[in-house]
Amino acid sequence: MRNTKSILLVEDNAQDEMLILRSLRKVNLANQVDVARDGQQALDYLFRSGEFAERGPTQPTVVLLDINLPRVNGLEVLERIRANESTRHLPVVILTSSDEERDRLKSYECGANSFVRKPLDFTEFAEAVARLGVYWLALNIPPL
Amino acid sequence: MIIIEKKTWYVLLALLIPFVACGIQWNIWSLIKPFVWFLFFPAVFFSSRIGGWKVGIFSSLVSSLLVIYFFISPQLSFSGKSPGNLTSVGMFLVMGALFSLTHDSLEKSKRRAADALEESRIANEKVTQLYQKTLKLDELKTQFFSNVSHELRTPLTLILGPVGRRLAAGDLKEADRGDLEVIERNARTLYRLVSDLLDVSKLEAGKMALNYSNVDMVPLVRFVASHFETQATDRGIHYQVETPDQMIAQVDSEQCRRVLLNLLSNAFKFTHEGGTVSVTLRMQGASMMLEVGDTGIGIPADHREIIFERFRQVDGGAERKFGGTGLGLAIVKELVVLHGGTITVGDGAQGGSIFTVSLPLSAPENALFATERGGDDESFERLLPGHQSQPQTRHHGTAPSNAPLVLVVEDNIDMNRYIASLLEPFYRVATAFDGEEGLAKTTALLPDLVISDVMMPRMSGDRMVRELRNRPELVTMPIIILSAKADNDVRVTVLNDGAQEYVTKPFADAELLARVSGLLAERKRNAGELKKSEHRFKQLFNEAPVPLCSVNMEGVITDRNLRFCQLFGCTGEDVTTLDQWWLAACPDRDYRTLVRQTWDNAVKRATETGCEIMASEYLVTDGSGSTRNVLISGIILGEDLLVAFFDITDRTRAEEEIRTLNSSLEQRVEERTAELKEAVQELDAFSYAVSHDLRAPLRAMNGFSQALAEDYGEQLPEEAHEYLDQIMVASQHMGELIDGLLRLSRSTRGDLNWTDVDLSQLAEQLRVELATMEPEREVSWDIEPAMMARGDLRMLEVVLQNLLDNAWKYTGKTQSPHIRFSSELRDGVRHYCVADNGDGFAMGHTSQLFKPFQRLHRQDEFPGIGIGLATAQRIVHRHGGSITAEGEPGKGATFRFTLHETT
Repeated sequence: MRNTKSILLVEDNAQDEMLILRSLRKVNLANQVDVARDGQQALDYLFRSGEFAERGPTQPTVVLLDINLPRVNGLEVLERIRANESTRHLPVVILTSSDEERDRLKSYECGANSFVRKPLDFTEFAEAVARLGVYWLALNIPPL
Repeated sequence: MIIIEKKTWYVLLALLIPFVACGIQWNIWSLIKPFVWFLFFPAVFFSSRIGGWKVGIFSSLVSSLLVIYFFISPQLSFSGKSPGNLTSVGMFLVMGALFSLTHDSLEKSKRRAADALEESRIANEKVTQLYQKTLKLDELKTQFFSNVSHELRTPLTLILGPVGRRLAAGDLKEADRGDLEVIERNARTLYRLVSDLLDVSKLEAGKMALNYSNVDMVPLVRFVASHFETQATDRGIHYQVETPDQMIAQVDSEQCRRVLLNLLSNAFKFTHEGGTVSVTLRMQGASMMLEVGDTGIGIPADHREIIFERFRQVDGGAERKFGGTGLGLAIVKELVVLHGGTITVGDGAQGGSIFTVSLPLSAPENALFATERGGDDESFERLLPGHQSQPQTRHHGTAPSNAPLVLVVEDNIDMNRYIASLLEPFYRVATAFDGEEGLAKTTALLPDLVISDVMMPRMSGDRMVRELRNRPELVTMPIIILSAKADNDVRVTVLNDGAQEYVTKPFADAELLARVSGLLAERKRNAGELKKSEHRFKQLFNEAPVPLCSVNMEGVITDRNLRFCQLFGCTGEDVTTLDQWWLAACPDRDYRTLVRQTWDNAVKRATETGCEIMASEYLVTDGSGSTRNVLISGIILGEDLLVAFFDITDRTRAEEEIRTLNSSLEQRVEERTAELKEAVQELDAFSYAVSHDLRAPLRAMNGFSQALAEDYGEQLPEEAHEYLDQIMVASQHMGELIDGLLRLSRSTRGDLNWTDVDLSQLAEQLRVELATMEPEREVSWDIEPAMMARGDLRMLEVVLQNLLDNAWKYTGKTQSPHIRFSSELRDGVRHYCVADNGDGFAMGHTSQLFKPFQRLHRQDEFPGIGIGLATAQRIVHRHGGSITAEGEPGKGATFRFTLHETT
């Protein structure tokens, strides 16, 4: 079961990535995480194109998506995910530093399943990430 | 024609009925058999009803033939009928004839009734017409009566006036004097008779209205009685008058004088020399009793009613001897009855008769009260027998050539001459003999005063007054109306139409002269005033700070002031008419045509509406040749036009400049707004970046310090832990600062979403949040319920949050902390008020409170970043309100804010 469940983390900030991975490691989920560093890479990963053309057909169980991303913006990535038949039901969690209302509304409008603000306090942050990992991988039952 | 046609139709219909009956009966024969006459009786009945008796009988014959042929067996044949059946035919014919004759007589009687009705209607109409005619005749009679009396009074005045003057002159031969006295006496009698007739006609027309006033009857009675004293002495009649000291009554004094005068005249007339006449006035209950007794021939008992009827006199030789119309007592009775009183006649104590008049002391409730009428004594005196008029001193000779000119308009040549002769010593006199001539002479001569009669051929005096008053140049000219018509209606009408005085004929010479000189003096005074005011106007006109000119009907400029000449550089010589002015002022032909039209229309409208000429702006060339903006307006003064020119060139220029400035200002505002918009957008992007990009490194600093402490804590010395803690605290604080800044910038961005906000509910939610965060604290809250405000829910939440957070925070060290959120109305504006009893602040620091990052406390006293109140203030300002703070160290702070004061 575990091998088939994975997380796609889309995060351009290397420090945040490290902190997120550290938090997931604490709950033993780090080895199931694939990381994309910008929006285009994330799309390539999901639609098996570019550098990920040879990737197997298995889609991640959940995508943790930042909004502020180089090349292709996080919200656009989300729109493309929702627009494609094969990824239409893929759970996407927006994980961002922004607490702007327009970002939050836009995210939900585009079909985000959840919107989580990265807490500034590390303890809270670590806890939030860990809970996200556990919730989406262990508790949540995906549509497919 | 229609009637004939209708009748023909009826006859045809009546003839058709038997055939229709036959047809119907043929069809239902099987049902009604053997009643052969079944439908024919009604057929004949109706036929005779509609068509008359001839048609009825004819229908009966036709019907019987039809029945014999169709229904009496053997059917469809005229032969072989049984005798019984033939008898029934005979009976039917008799019945038919009876119907016809009955209907005929019915019809005839109906027609007769209608005729009778019509005749009575016509008769009725005739009676009504006759009645109307009678009414009219009666009216005409009264009118005729009144006119004749007027006509008689005028010549009488003319006889009495000169005779009186001749008698007063004193240079007469004895024989002449005797003749003149006879003339005067008779004229006076005639005058009295005519006056009686006039009164009768007035009484008959119901035109005699009493003018009540409060009158002391005693002097009145004594005054009237005194007129007979001479006569009593002359004739050796014992004359006694008895009155109380005073007796106030509400009566028409003039008519009361008439009553007493007539009674006394009567008494003296019938009393022989050496007899007695007595007058007694006394009070009896609510009435006054006036008794006039004489020792004359007396009145037989059976005549005591008749004497009060008009034209009645006690018969016998006395008629010739005593003369008279017999109207006197009738008038007395009418007047007494008008007053609501009674008059009786009885036998005097010493023979003769005694007349007793009883009048109520107070007037009826709806009585007309008038001030005591003056000027009637003259006519009253003329009614007295043998009265000697006061000698008149007359100045003979002609008036100087500069004396005022008086026009006398009077159709009676004698009267005209008489009046003229009265006036000639003092005034220049012109005469006219009817209204038309008067009008013409007035216009031509412009006299200083006009005296006019009312009743004149061609044009009456009252009409002439109206015509005169319609001419502006004659508006102030005094007019005296002289009339034998003592009729109040005419008097009021003429005075209304603009006559100054109304003098009744006969008039006293002195009175007329006095009125003439009074009016002329007044006119002179008015003329002086007019001259003064004209002078003032002229001065004002000339020195007015606005160009003015006066234009007459022909368009000639009759006057222009200094400013006019200065502005247009023209004098009376070069520009004499308005047309010439337009030519000079608007050299361009097309423009001139256009503005002339505008001007002419404005003048026309002003003439029609009587308002001033509407001011319009014209481009006008001035004396120096430069174009100016001139507002031209004016007023119509009689037939002249006062035109005013307002030079608004400077104002127009200034307005133009302001307009240019305004438009460039608008452009600049637009540019600035665009710049601002751009700046705001940049700021937006900036704060967005701040929220994302500043937070990430902070989180990294905070995160890695903590990770370091967690993962390698055991290897680090105590001091390193402390440093790491400081890094974490600092980054946390910085994070809060960033969040505060974000909130501050957000409070000034975005549109306000106006809704009704329940502030009380919002405060309650915040209270619960605060209590949940620090459950160990015990704070007493007082939140006023149902405080509603209009504003943006999110923004107001931020305001309340900041204020309540502060109150919560600064009461942290207070014993029994209390926070109150309430509202109050100050000067019609709702103030919301958050008060606490916390640490407070010094009022000197108030200005610091609302500046971002300004704090009054150290972090270790009360932590914070100093941005909450700045945010609250900005939000309040965005809502159009204001926020103030009051405080005292150690006693607490109060924050008051308002919303949309200005919206």
